[in-house]
Amino acid sequence: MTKKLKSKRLKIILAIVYVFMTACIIFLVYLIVATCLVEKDRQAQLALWESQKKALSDERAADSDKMVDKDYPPYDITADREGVMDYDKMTAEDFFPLKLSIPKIDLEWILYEGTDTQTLKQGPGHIIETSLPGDVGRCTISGHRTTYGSPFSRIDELVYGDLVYLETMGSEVFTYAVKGQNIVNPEDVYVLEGSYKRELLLTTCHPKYSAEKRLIIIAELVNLYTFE
Amino acid sequence: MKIKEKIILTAVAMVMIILVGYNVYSVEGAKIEAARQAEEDARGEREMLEEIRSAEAREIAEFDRDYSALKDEFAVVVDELLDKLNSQISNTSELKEITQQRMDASKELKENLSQMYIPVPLEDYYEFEMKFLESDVEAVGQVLLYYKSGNYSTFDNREIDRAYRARSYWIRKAKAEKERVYGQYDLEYLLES
Repeated sequence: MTKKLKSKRLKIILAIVYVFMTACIIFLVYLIVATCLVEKDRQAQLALWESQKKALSDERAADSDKMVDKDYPPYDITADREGVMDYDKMTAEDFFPLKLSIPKIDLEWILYEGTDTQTLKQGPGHIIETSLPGDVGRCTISGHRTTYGSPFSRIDELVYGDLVYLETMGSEVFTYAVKGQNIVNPEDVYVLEGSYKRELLLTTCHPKYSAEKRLIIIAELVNLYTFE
Repeated sequence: MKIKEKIILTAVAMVMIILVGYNVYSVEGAKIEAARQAEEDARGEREMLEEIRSAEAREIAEFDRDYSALKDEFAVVVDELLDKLNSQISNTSELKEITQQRMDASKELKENLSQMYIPVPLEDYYEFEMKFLESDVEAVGQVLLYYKSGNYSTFDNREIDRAYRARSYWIRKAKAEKERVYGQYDLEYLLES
Protein backbone atom coordinates (compact mmCIF):
# COMPACT_ATOMS: atom_id res chain seq x y z
CA MET A 1 0.00 0.00 0.00
CA THR A 2 2.75 2.43 0.97
CA LYS A 3 4.77 1.44 -2.06
CA LYS A 4 1.76 2.05 -4.26
CA LEU A 5 1.19 5.47 -2.67
CA LYS A 6 4.80 6.41 -3.15
CA SER A 7 4.64 5.40 -6.77
CA LYS A 8 1.51 7.50 -7.27
CA ARG A 9 3.14 10.53 -5.64
CA LEU A 10 6.20 10.08 -7.79
CA LYS A 11 4.02 9.96 -10.86
CA ILE A 12 2.31 13.17 -9.84
CA ILE A 13 5.62 14.91 -9.18
CA LEU A 14 6.98 13.66 -12.48
CA ALA A 15 3.87 14.88 -14.24
CA ILE A 16 4.23 18.31 -12.64
CA VAL A 17 7.90 18.44 -13.60
CA TYR A 18 7.02 17.31 -17.10
CA VAL A 19 4.32 19.97 -17.46
CA PHE A 20 6.64 22.63 -15.99
CA MET A 21 9.47 21.69 -18.34
CA THR A 22 7.15 21.62 -21.31
CA ALA A 23 5.86 25.04 -20.34
CA CYS A 24 9.44 26.30 -20.05
CA ILE A 25 10.37 24.91 -23.43
CA ILE A 26 7.24 26.39 -25.02
CA PHE A 27 8.01 29.74 -23.41
CA LEU A 28 11.63 29.58 -24.58
CA VAL A 29 10.57 28.70 -28.10
CA TYR A 30 8.03 31.53 -27.99
CA LEU A 31 10.73 33.96 -26.87
CA ILE A 32 13.10 32.87 -29.61
CA VAL A 33 10.41 32.99 -32.28
CA ALA A 34 9.11 36.34 -31.03
CA THR A 35 12.62 37.82 -30.96
CA CYS A 36 13.30 36.54 -34.47
CA LEU A 37 10.01 37.94 -35.73
CA VAL A 38 10.64 41.34 -34.14
CA GLU A 39 14.16 41.42 -35.55
CA LYS A 40 12.86 40.44 -38.97
CA ASP A 41 10.24 43.17 -38.71
CA ARG A 42 12.86 45.70 -37.64
CA GLN A 43 15.05 44.80 -40.62
CA ALA A 44 12.06 45.02 -42.95
CA GLN A 45 11.12 48.43 -41.57
CA LEU A 46 14.68 49.69 -41.99
CA ALA A 47 14.81 48.36 -45.57
CA LEU A 48 11.46 49.96 -46.39
CA TRP A 49 12.56 53.25 -44.85
CA GLU A 50 15.82 53.23 -46.83
CA SER A 51 13.97 52.49 -50.09
CA GLN A 52 11.47 55.29 -49.42
CA LYS A 53 14.34 57.62 -48.59
CA LYS A 54 16.06 56.73 -51.86
CA ALA A 55 12.84 57.27 -53.81
CA LEU A 56 12.42 60.70 -52.21
CA SER A 57 16.05 61.54 -52.89
CA ASP A 58 15.66 60.55 -56.58
CA GLU A 59 12.50 62.60 -56.81
CA ARG A 60 14.27 65.61 -55.36
CA ALA A 61 17.20 65.17 -57.73
CA ALA A 62 14.80 65.06 -60.68
CA ASP A 63 13.09 68.24 -59.51
CA SER A 64 16.28 70.04 -58.52
CA ASP A 65 16.27 72.23 -61.64
CA LYS A 66 12.88 73.60 -60.73
CA MET A 67 13.83 74.42 -57.17
CA VAL A 68 14.96 77.76 -55.92
CA ASP A 69 17.48 78.18 -53.13
CA LYS A 70 15.03 79.40 -50.55
CA ASP A 71 12.87 76.31 -50.93
CA TYR A 72 15.55 73.74 -50.32
CA PRO A 73 16.69 72.59 -47.88
CA PRO A 74 14.20 74.25 -45.52
CA TYR A 75 15.72 72.95 -42.32
CA ASP A 76 19.17 71.73 -43.15
CA ILE A 77 21.18 72.21 -40.00
CA THR A 78 24.24 70.20 -40.92
CA ALA A 79 25.51 72.09 -43.92
CA ASP A 80 25.40 75.78 -44.64
CA ARG A 81 24.62 78.09 -41.74
CA GLU A 82 22.44 80.14 -44.08
CA GLY A 83 19.88 77.31 -44.14
CA VAL A 84 17.13 78.34 -41.75
CA MET A 85 14.70 75.96 -40.13
CA ASP A 86 11.12 77.07 -40.60
CA TYR A 87 9.32 75.27 -37.78
CA ASP A 88 6.11 77.21 -38.18
CA LYS A 89 5.34 75.37 -41.39
CA MET A 90 6.35 71.92 -40.17
CA THR A 91 4.25 69.12 -38.76
CA ALA A 92 4.98 65.63 -37.50
CA GLU A 93 4.32 64.27 -41.02
CA ASP A 94 7.41 66.12 -42.19
CA PHE A 95 9.53 64.08 -39.81
CA PHE A 96 8.09 60.62 -39.19
CA PRO A 97 8.96 57.86 -39.68
CA LEU A 98 12.50 58.75 -38.68
CA LYS A 99 15.55 56.58 -38.37
CA LEU A 100 16.98 56.59 -34.87
CA SER A 101 20.67 55.62 -34.67
CA ILE A 102 22.98 55.42 -31.69
CA PRO A 103 26.37 54.10 -32.90
CA LYS A 104 27.73 53.63 -29.36
CA ILE A 105 25.22 50.85 -28.63
CA ASP A 106 24.65 49.68 -32.23
CA LEU A 107 21.06 50.85 -32.12
CA GLU A 108 19.19 51.40 -35.36
CA TRP A 109 15.38 51.54 -35.34
CA ILE A 110 12.62 53.18 -37.27
CA LEU A 111 10.85 55.66 -35.07
CA TYR A 112 7.14 56.38 -35.34
CA GLU A 113 4.88 59.13 -34.11
CA GLY A 114 2.93 58.10 -31.02
CA THR A 115 3.44 55.85 -28.04
CA ASP A 116 0.32 53.72 -27.99
CA THR A 117 0.74 49.99 -27.38
CA GLN A 118 0.57 49.07 -31.05
CA THR A 119 3.14 51.70 -32.08
CA LEU A 120 5.57 50.67 -29.35
CA LYS A 121 5.34 47.06 -30.51
CA GLN A 122 6.83 48.23 -33.82
CA GLY A 123 9.69 50.13 -32.19
CA PRO A 124 10.37 53.34 -30.29
CA GLY A 125 7.77 56.09 -30.54
CA HIS A 126 7.74 59.85 -30.24
CA ILE A 127 5.46 61.21 -27.52
CA ILE A 128 3.02 63.34 -29.50
CA GLU A 129 2.69 66.09 -26.91
CA THR A 130 6.43 66.81 -26.88
CA SER A 131 8.36 69.00 -29.31
CA LEU A 132 9.46 67.85 -32.74
CA PRO A 133 13.07 66.93 -33.55
CA GLY A 134 15.35 69.95 -33.74
CA ASP A 135 12.81 72.20 -32.07
CA VAL A 136 13.14 74.04 -28.77
CA GLY A 137 11.89 71.90 -25.89
CA ARG A 138 12.14 68.24 -25.04
CA CYS A 139 11.51 65.95 -27.97
CA THR A 140 10.79 62.69 -26.16
CA ILE A 141 11.11 59.15 -27.45
CA SER A 142 9.89 56.16 -25.55
CA GLY A 143 10.83 52.53 -26.15
CA HIS A 144 10.63 49.07 -24.64
CA ARG A 145 13.59 47.87 -22.66
CA THR A 146 13.09 44.12 -22.50
CA THR A 147 10.24 43.24 -24.85
CA TYR A 148 9.32 43.72 -28.52
CA GLY A 149 12.90 43.67 -29.68
CA SER A 150 13.98 45.64 -26.61
CA PRO A 151 15.15 48.69 -28.58
CA PHE A 152 16.23 50.58 -25.47
CA SER A 153 17.81 47.67 -23.63
CA ARG A 154 21.25 49.28 -23.62
CA ILE A 155 20.51 52.98 -23.34
CA ASP A 156 21.78 52.93 -19.75
CA GLU A 157 25.27 52.61 -21.30
CA LEU A 158 25.04 56.09 -22.80
CA VAL A 159 27.29 58.65 -21.16
CA TYR A 160 28.11 62.34 -21.57
CA GLY A 161 29.10 63.15 -25.15
CA ASP A 162 27.66 60.07 -26.88
CA LEU A 163 25.84 61.00 -30.05
CA VAL A 164 22.27 60.17 -31.03
CA TYR A 165 21.10 60.69 -34.62
CA LEU A 166 17.59 61.25 -35.95
CA GLU A 167 17.43 61.09 -39.72
CA THR A 168 14.43 62.02 -41.83
CA MET A 169 13.61 60.48 -45.19
CA GLY A 170 14.61 63.80 -46.69
CA SER A 171 18.16 63.16 -45.39
CA GLU A 172 18.01 65.87 -42.75
CA VAL A 173 20.01 64.68 -39.79
CA PHE A 174 19.48 65.92 -36.24
CA THR A 175 22.44 65.11 -34.04
CA TYR A 176 22.12 65.13 -30.27
CA ALA A 177 24.89 64.83 -27.71
CA VAL A 178 24.05 63.05 -24.46
CA LYS A 179 24.29 65.36 -21.44
CA GLY A 180 23.33 62.89 -18.73
CA GLN A 181 20.78 60.44 -17.41
CA ASN A 182 18.17 60.49 -14.72
CA ILE A 183 15.92 57.95 -12.98
CA VAL A 184 12.44 59.12 -12.09
CA ASN A 185 9.08 57.73 -11.05
CA PRO A 186 6.57 56.96 -13.81
CA GLU A 187 4.32 59.75 -12.57
CA ASP A 188 7.08 62.37 -12.81
CA VAL A 189 5.91 63.66 -16.16
CA TYR A 190 7.32 67.08 -15.40
CA VAL A 191 10.58 65.89 -17.00
CA LEU A 192 8.84 66.07 -20.38
CA GLU A 193 7.96 69.69 -19.93
CA GLY A 194 9.43 72.44 -22.03
CA SER A 195 12.99 73.56 -21.95
CA TYR A 196 14.61 76.60 -23.51
CA LYS A 197 17.12 74.21 -25.04
CA ARG A 198 16.73 71.94 -28.04
CA GLU A 199 16.73 68.63 -26.22
CA LEU A 200 15.99 64.99 -26.83
CA LEU A 201 14.80 62.61 -24.13
CA LEU A 202 14.96 58.84 -24.45
CA THR A 203 12.79 57.11 -21.88
CA THR A 204 12.38 53.48 -20.94
CA CYS A 205 11.54 51.28 -17.95
CA HIS A 206 14.00 50.89 -15.12
CA PRO A 207 15.41 48.64 -13.82
CA LYS A 208 15.31 45.95 -16.48
CA TYR A 209 12.27 43.64 -16.23
CA SER A 210 10.51 46.16 -14.04
CA ALA A 211 8.28 49.16 -14.64
CA GLU A 212 8.90 50.63 -11.22
CA LYS A 213 10.94 53.61 -12.46
CA ARG A 214 11.77 55.37 -15.68
CA LEU A 215 15.27 55.82 -17.05
CA ILE A 216 15.68 59.14 -18.84
CA ILE A 217 18.58 59.94 -21.17
CA ILE A 218 18.92 63.68 -21.80
CA ALA A 219 20.66 64.88 -24.96
CA GLU A 220 21.08 68.29 -26.57
CA LEU A 221 21.00 69.22 -30.25
CA VAL A 222 24.45 69.85 -31.67
CA ASN A 223 25.04 71.40 -35.09
CA LEU A 224 27.56 69.48 -37.14
CA TYR A 225 29.59 71.93 -39.17
CA THR A 226 31.23 70.70 -42.35
CA PHE A 227 34.17 72.39 -44.07
CA GLU A 228 34.60 71.21 -47.62
CA MET B 1 68.89 135.71 -123.58
CA LYS B 2 72.31 134.61 -124.33
CA ILE B 3 73.23 131.03 -124.33
CA LYS B 4 75.65 131.61 -121.52
CA GLU B 5 72.92 132.97 -119.27
CA LYS B 6 70.65 130.10 -120.15
CA ILE B 7 73.32 127.65 -119.17
CA ILE B 8 73.87 129.46 -115.89
CA LEU B 9 70.14 129.52 -115.12
CA THR B 10 69.76 125.91 -116.03
CA ALA B 11 72.73 125.04 -113.86
CA VAL B 12 71.33 127.04 -110.95
CA ALA B 13 67.92 125.38 -111.42
CA MET B 14 69.52 121.98 -111.53
CA VAL B 15 71.53 122.72 -108.41
CA MET B 16 68.34 123.91 -106.72
CA ILE B 17 66.50 120.79 -107.80
CA ILE B 18 69.37 118.63 -106.62
CA LEU B 19 69.52 120.47 -103.29
CA VAL B 20 65.74 120.21 -102.78
CA GLY B 21 65.79 116.61 -103.86
CA TYR B 22 68.67 115.83 -101.54
CA ASN B 23 66.89 117.62 -98.74
CA VAL B 24 63.71 115.68 -99.35
CA TYR B 25 65.70 112.48 -99.66
CA SER B 26 67.67 113.09 -96.46
CA VAL B 27 64.62 114.16 -94.44
CA GLU B 28 62.54 111.23 -95.65
CA GLY B 29 65.49 108.94 -95.15
CA ALA B 30 65.86 110.17 -91.61
CA LYS B 31 62.15 109.61 -91.08
CA ILE B 32 62.34 106.11 -92.48
CA GLU B 33 65.43 105.44 -90.41
CA ALA B 34 63.68 106.79 -87.30
CA ALA B 35 60.63 104.66 -88.00
CA ARG B 36 62.80 101.62 -88.61
CA GLN B 37 64.71 102.34 -85.43
CA ALA B 38 61.49 102.81 -83.51
CA GLU B 39 60.16 99.57 -84.89
CA GLU B 40 63.37 97.82 -84.00
CA ASP B 41 63.26 99.27 -80.50
CA ALA B 42 59.62 98.25 -80.15
CA ARG B 43 60.42 94.75 -81.36
CA GLY B 44 63.29 94.56 -78.87
CA GLU B 45 61.02 95.77 -76.15
CA ARG B 46 58.31 93.33 -77.22
CA GLU B 47 60.81 90.51 -77.23
CA MET B 48 62.05 91.55 -73.82
CA LEU B 49 58.48 91.77 -72.48
CA GLU B 50 57.66 88.47 -74.11
CA GLU B 51 60.68 86.99 -72.47
CA ILE B 52 59.68 88.42 -69.11
CA ARG B 53 56.11 87.34 -69.73
CA SER B 54 57.08 83.84 -70.67
CA ALA B 55 59.42 83.71 -67.67
CA GLU B 56 56.54 84.84 -65.45
CA ALA B 57 54.19 82.38 -67.11
CA ARG B 58 56.73 79.66 -66.48
CA GLU B 59 57.00 80.71 -62.84
CA ILE B 60 53.21 80.74 -62.49
CA ALA B 61 52.98 77.28 -64.05
CA GLU B 62 55.68 76.00 -61.69
CA PHE B 63 53.90 77.55 -58.70
CA ASP B 64 50.63 76.06 -59.87
CA ARG B 65 52.17 72.60 -60.14
CA ASP B 66 53.67 72.75 -56.63
CA TYR B 67 50.72 74.38 -54.91
CA SER B 68 48.19 72.15 -56.65
CA ALA B 69 50.05 69.12 -55.30
CA LEU B 70 49.79 70.55 -51.78
CA LYS B 71 46.12 71.39 -52.25
CA ASP B 72 45.42 67.90 -53.57
CA GLU B 73 46.96 66.41 -50.41
CA PHE B 74 44.87 68.83 -48.35
CA ALA B 75 41.70 67.84 -50.25
CA VAL B 76 42.38 64.15 -49.59
CA VAL B 77 42.71 64.81 -45.85
CA VAL B 78 39.55 66.95 -45.83
CA ASP B 79 37.59 64.28 -47.73
CA GLU B 80 38.69 61.60 -45.30
CA LEU B 81 37.62 63.74 -42.35
CA LEU B 82 34.28 64.52 -44.01
CA ASP B 83 33.70 60.81 -44.61
CA LYS B 84 34.37 60.15 -40.93
CA LEU B 85 32.00 62.94 -39.93
CA ASN B 86 29.28 61.65 -42.24
CA SER B 87 29.62 58.07 -41.04
CA GLN B 88 27.84 58.92 -37.80
CA ILE B 89 30.59 58.97 -35.23
CA SER B 90 29.71 57.80 -31.76
CA ASN B 91 30.63 60.69 -29.47
CA THR B 92 31.67 64.33 -29.17
CA SER B 93 35.29 63.43 -28.36
CA GLU B 94 35.63 62.03 -31.87
CA LEU B 95 33.87 65.11 -33.19
CA LYS B 96 36.40 67.38 -31.49
CA GLU B 97 39.28 65.22 -32.69
CA ILE B 98 38.10 65.35 -36.32
CA THR B 99 37.62 69.11 -36.09
CA GLN B 100 41.08 69.53 -34.59
CA GLN B 101 42.59 67.45 -37.41
CA ARG B 102 40.72 69.58 -39.94
CA MET B 103 42.17 72.73 -38.38
CA ASP B 104 45.68 71.25 -38.35
CA ALA B 105 45.37 70.41 -42.05
CA SER B 106 44.54 74.06 -42.85
CA LYS B 107 47.38 75.31 -40.68
CA GLU B 108 49.82 73.01 -42.44
CA LEU B 109 48.69 74.13 -45.89
CA LYS B 110 49.00 77.78 -44.82
CA GLU B 111 52.50 77.15 -43.47
CA ASN B 112 53.55 75.40 -46.68
CA LEU B 113 52.13 78.20 -48.82
CA SER B 114 53.98 80.82 -46.80
CA GLN B 115 57.27 79.05 -47.58
CA MET B 116 56.71 78.96 -51.32
CA TYR B 117 58.19 81.30 -53.92
CA ILE B 118 55.34 83.51 -55.16
CA PRO B 119 55.61 84.85 -58.74
CA VAL B 120 55.02 88.63 -58.91
CA PRO B 121 51.72 88.40 -60.85
CA LEU B 122 50.33 86.09 -58.16
CA GLU B 123 51.04 88.35 -55.22
CA ASP B 124 47.41 89.40 -54.87
CA TYR B 125 46.26 85.83 -55.28
CA TYR B 126 48.71 84.80 -52.55
CA GLU B 127 47.34 87.46 -50.24
CA PHE B 128 43.73 86.35 -50.84
CA GLU B 129 44.63 82.67 -50.49
CA MET B 130 46.42 83.35 -47.20
CA LYS B 131 43.41 85.29 -45.94
CA PHE B 132 41.15 82.42 -46.97
CA LEU B 133 43.32 79.94 -45.06
CA GLU B 134 43.46 82.27 -42.03
CA SER B 135 39.66 82.58 -42.00
CA ASP B 136 39.33 78.83 -42.54
CA VAL B 137 41.53 78.16 -39.50
CA GLU B 138 39.54 80.73 -37.54
CA ALA B 139 36.18 79.26 -38.58
CA VAL B 140 37.21 75.71 -37.70
CA GLY B 141 38.65 77.04 -34.44
CA GLN B 142 35.33 78.68 -33.59
CA VAL B 143 33.51 75.43 -34.33
CA LEU B 144 35.95 73.62 -32.07
CA LEU B 145 35.17 76.12 -29.31
CA TYR B 146 31.47 75.42 -29.88
CA TYR B 147 31.97 71.66 -29.57
CA LYS B 148 34.14 72.12 -26.48
CA SER B 149 31.61 74.43 -24.84
CA GLY B 150 29.09 71.61 -24.39
CA ASN B 151 26.59 74.42 -24.38
CA TYR B 152 25.01 73.78 -27.73
CA SER B 153 21.64 75.51 -27.41
CA THR B 154 22.79 78.77 -25.90
CA PHE B 155 26.23 79.12 -27.48
CA ASP B 156 26.61 82.48 -29.22
CA ASN B 157 27.48 81.36 -32.73
CA ARG B 158 27.78 84.79 -34.29
CA GLU B 159 31.55 84.41 -34.45
CA ILE B 160 31.14 81.13 -36.34
CA ASP B 161 28.81 82.84 -38.81
CA ARG B 162 31.21 85.73 -39.25
CA ALA B 163 34.19 83.43 -39.81
CA TYR B 164 32.14 81.35 -42.26
CA ARG B 165 31.22 84.44 -44.25
CA ALA B 166 34.83 85.70 -44.27
CA ARG B 167 35.99 82.30 -45.44
CA SER B 168 33.48 82.28 -48.32
CA TYR B 169 34.44 85.83 -49.27
CA TRP B 170 38.18 85.17 -49.44
CA ILE B 171 37.84 81.88 -51.27
CA ARG B 172 35.80 83.65 -53.96
CA LYS B 173 38.31 86.53 -54.18
CA ALA B 174 41.24 84.11 -54.49
CA LYS B 175 39.47 82.10 -57.19
CA ALA B 176 38.59 85.22 -59.22
CA GLU B 177 42.13 86.60 -58.97
CA LYS B 178 43.64 83.29 -60.00
CA GLU B 179 41.36 83.10 -63.04
CA ARG B 180 42.25 86.68 -63.98
CA VAL B 181 46.01 86.13 -63.80
CA TYR B 182 45.91 82.75 -65.53
CA GLY B 183 43.78 84.27 -68.28
CA GLN B 184 46.27 87.10 -68.73
CA TYR B 185 49.11 84.62 -69.21
CA ASP B 186 47.14 82.19 -71.38
CA LEU B 187 47.28 79.58 -68.66
CA GLU B 188 43.57 78.85 -68.49
CA TYR B 189 44.24 75.21 -69.22
CA LEU B 190 45.80 74.95 -65.74
CA LEU B 191 42.49 75.96 -64.20
CA GLU B 192 40.82 72.91 -65.67
CA SER B 193 43.14 70.44 -63.96
